[in-house]
Amino acid sequence: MQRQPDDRRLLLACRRGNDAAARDLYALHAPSLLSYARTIDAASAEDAVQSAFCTVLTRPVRELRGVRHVRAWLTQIVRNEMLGQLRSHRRSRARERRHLPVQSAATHEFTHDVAEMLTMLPRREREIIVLKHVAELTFEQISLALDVNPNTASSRYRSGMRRLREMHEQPRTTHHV
Amino acid sequence: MSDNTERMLDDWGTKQRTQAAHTSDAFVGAVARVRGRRRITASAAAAVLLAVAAAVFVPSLQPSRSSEDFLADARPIEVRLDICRPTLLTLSRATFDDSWEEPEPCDAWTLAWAHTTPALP
Repeated sequence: MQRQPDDRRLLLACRRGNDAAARDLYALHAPSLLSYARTIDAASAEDAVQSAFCTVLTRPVRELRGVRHVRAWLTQIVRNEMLGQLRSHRRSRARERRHLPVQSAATHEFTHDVAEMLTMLPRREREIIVLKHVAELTFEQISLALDVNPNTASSRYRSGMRRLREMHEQPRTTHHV
Repeated sequence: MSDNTERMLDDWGTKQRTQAAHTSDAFVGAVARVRGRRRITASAAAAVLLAVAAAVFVPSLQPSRSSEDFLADARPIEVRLDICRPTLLTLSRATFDDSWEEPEPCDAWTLAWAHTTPALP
């Protein structure tokens, strides 16, 4: 999906303390970022997105001028924030359960089937599919957000989609535990 | 070409985003705080630059009484900004220009601007 062409300008205006630009930037990107973050960990998703937007306010203007894809850049910040929080939680709480990101999103009734299928994918494939269909990033933007080669992102996406299609085409009872 | 699985994912993504679509007063509040901080930074940096400029150009500038008052008022602010001393001058150059696009060098205009800046608490 195409972003509005002036979101880089919004980013700079937000950094300068423009409330209206901050609202617009938030409205433009926060829903996608929050949806993505919830597939990693619903409990800390809002904190991570909030933290990412606050990060905008602390970065040097010259760094923000170099941002090519605002949503990809914000996604990278959210992701790092989420992974950092998860590492911290693991240390402090010694979580024993393996993290299954999309399970938390499955609490929403209408997402149950999709979320459940996504949890069955390898993490790397699942993340790219979520970024493509939830955060609406292109492969180029995904590669920037995840710091992987665009071809790698595309390959993982295709692999994940192949698995999903197999699950989707199977009778309901076979992929519901 | 979009198949059933892709459409299912697109629908799911749309619903996820719709659920997540809300504004955050907290974030806008953070922006307001930054804006306030910028004013402080600009004013304090002006004081520092004024001091630097005064030290360098004292013979030619001959600071007036008002500039001395300004320096006296701003002294506590300089202490406060000691924390970020390594980036102080960089920040100050940027903050003098409202658009932040073409930072102005420290010059007579900067000094005049500093004189008109209200003293900070």
